[in-house]
Amino acid sequence: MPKPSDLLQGTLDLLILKAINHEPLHGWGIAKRIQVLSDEVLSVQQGSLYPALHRLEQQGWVTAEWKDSELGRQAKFYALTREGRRQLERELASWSRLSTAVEQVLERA
Amino acid sequence: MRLMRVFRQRVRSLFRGAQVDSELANEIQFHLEQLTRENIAAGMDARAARLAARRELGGMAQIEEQCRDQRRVSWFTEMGKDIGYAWRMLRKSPGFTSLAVITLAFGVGASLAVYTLAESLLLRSLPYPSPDRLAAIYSVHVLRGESENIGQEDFRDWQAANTVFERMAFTEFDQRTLTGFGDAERLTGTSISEGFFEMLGVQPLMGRWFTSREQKPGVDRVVLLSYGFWVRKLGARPDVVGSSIILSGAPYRVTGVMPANFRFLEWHLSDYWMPIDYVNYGHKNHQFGGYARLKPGIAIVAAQRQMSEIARRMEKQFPDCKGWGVRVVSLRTALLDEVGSALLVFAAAALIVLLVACGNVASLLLARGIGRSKEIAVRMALGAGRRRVVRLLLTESVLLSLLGAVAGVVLAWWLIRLAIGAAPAWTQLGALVSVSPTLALFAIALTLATGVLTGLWPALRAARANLQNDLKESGASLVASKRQVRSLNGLVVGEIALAVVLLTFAGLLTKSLAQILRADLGYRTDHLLTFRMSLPSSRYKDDQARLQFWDKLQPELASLPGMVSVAASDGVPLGGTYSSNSMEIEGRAAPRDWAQADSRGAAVTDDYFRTIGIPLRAGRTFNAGDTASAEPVAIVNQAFVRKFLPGEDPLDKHARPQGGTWRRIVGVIGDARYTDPTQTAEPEFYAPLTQEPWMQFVALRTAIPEARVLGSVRAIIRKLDPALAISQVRTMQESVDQATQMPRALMALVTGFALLTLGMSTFGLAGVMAYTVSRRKRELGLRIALGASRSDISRAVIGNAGRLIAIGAAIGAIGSYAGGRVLESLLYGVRPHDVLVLVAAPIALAAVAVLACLAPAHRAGSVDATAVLRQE
Repeated sequence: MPKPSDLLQGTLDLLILKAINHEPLHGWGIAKRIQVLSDEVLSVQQGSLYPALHRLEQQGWVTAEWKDSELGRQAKFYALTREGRRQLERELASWSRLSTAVEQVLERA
Repeated sequence: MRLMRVFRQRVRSLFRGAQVDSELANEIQFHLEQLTRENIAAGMDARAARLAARRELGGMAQIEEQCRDQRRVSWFTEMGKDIGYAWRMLRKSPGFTSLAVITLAFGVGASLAVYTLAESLLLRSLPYPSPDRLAAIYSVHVLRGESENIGQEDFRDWQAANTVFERMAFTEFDQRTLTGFGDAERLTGTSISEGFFEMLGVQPLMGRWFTSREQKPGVDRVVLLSYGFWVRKLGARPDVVGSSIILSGAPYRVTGVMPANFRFLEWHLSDYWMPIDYVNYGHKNHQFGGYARLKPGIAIVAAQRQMSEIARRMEKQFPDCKGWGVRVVSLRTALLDEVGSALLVFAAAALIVLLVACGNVASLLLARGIGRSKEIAVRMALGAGRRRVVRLLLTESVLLSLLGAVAGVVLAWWLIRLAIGAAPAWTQLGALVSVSPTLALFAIALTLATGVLTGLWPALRAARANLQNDLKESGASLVASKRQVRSLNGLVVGEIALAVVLLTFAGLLTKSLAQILRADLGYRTDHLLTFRMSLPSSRYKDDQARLQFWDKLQPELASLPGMVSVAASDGVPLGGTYSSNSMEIEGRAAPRDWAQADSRGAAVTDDYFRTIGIPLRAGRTFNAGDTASAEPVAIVNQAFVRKFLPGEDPLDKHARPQGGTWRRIVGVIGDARYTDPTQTAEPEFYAPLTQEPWMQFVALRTAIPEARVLGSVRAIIRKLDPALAISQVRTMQESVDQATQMPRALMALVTGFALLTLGMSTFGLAGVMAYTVSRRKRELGLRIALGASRSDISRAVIGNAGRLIAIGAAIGAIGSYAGGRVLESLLYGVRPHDVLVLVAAPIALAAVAVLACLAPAHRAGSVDATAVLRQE
């Protein structure tokens, strides 16, 4: 298995917001989901996940709640707030701008 | 919405930090368990799975720390830790801490006191709308350059011609006797022209201003009362408006009471205000205070320009206006003219105390910082950043200055009491001083600035530590690093220089006060009691009635046991009354410029000169033969002779006040300082009271302490006329003390501050010397072992200190030479560049400083070479 590529700076926030867009997830679940959805290509640096979650919570994009997990143990579930949803849209827009630009460069160069 | 959420998060992080931390640990633990479980599912055994999970997750402590950083409250929590740590450090060395706190208390306290006084005087002493548009107007005698009071006729012409003032008004000092409320009492008040209150824009607390009908002469007798008088004498009766009070025998209707904070700078306190009497004195008269409110947008210089032009026109138009100009100054400037220079000196002294205190504490911190370099190196080795170390050390110094400020408030309170006692009564300084938000803000800013000022440099130095060296060294290097020593030396030199400046100021003020006290006043101040007693014209209608009263009173007073002589007059030295006239000498052309022919005029009884103690130089004093119907005679002083009859025999010459009675000069008396102990004697022209019965003061010379006759004196007066008020009861010594109160207080204050800085700077020097000696112990031991004699070593240390003292003293001497101007207007009989003081101050300081260094020098010489070298 090839070594998972490091996440581009600043995209972690976007991936986290997207990962919990449909349902609240705990930290472990977020990491797994990103890994699975990217076909094991993207692996979240475990060490940077929690500071990122902390930051998003401090900024009010996400809200957290302690709930019983599917594994029968209490876990901290993160959900998007209304402002978080708006932030996700903003980040998606800027990401698509960036990726289109990069693609263009790659195609035309 | 989002802000609310963010705020809640911050508050939670700040105050429920432990809970947030434990949740975080729980969360990460959960993650770890999941990883382990996954690893086991992949076929690892439990132990290997746990280890792999840990490896994958990374350092838990680091993750937790990174998360904490995201909370954005680390600044606060770290500060809390710093404060706790700083507090422990300060408690560990109570000697250092209390010394630093006391030192800073002096600096902060003095500065707080100055700020409070300045704020009170500048912001609260003019409680009117737009006080910056208020101006004082003076007549200026162009040749003498002195500002004087204005005249009514001048005022009228100015009012008609100018376009710069919205309103103008003038005032006059007034005194009346209040009867009907217990003992008769002499009140001081102000007569005011129309427009006075409108100009100030201050409404009465109750009642109303005077109507213009009420201010027409002879129409009505009305009065506005001060709040203080209303409370003190009328028991704050709410129904006072519309009632009448008896002033000098006539009923006055009260139209209102002014608010408690109403004040007007008339250089005296007012119990009441009443409409002024309009009398046409012509253009020659100068006896009123002039004031005006500028139109909006008109600058004071523009007003001055127009008024000067008007004055020049009037000079051409009226002979009496010749030689007179006008001066317009803002009321604030007029106030600062009176108290500004004393305040400035106080401020300079306080600033110097503050700087020296900061310097002293900084050098203490610096020396301590060098001793702590190992501790700091350890901290930095363990990962503390430079900024973090600086912050920690700054927290310590700010905490020190905070403690100093708390102690300083007590000192400030005491200093303010002192200043209130010394300031002229009319400033009502006590009522102005209050704790304002800006004062609190200033105090906080000052405290922080002091903390940073003392701590920043030592902290930066300490954080510039060389890790390897500091950790390797066992704490004592062979020689203290040159840079460290140089910083300490610089501070000491600065402190010494500032101390020299303040010592010079103190020397100048002391010498000035000594000159004032030594000045020959021209009369004897001991065993002399004076009081004010004027006979109301309502009951003492003519000269004869007044003289008859005196003829009854005089023998009764004179027969009291212990009484030497008794006199009455229209004024006594330092009594606060004054009248002057332009003089004519018979056989001489009338003076071209009347204002230049001024002489003080006075009326006295025959025993006056003996009672006051003014010596007779030629001729005779007044005697029983100088009756009302006898030949008009006069006595003049030597200054009069010098001014009007230089080189001539004044006896039997005739002189008169402009337009008055010709009087033959029968005697010459010595010069005396009448208005102020610091003012040189002016020409005086005395008439016998029998011929000009205008009695205001009684003077009593006693053989026993003055206080012992006072009771009987009061009883005699009450027996003769119970409605007669006596006031200003003072011994002459009390009058002199009162007149010299300000220079005394200022001298005491500056001298106190100077001794304080002298102590601080020499102490700082000795401390630095002791410190360097202890740091150089091994070097010194080595020198001694190599053959240096002990006295050589001691001398070297003294020489080192001497160099610092010399540099500091030289800088200080230059500084005092340059800064002496500040004092100029406060000095009497001493120039700000007085050579004796300028030389003596640095020498005195140097002597004390060298003495202070003897102990460390001796210690340096007595280093035990073998013991020191064996330590290696």
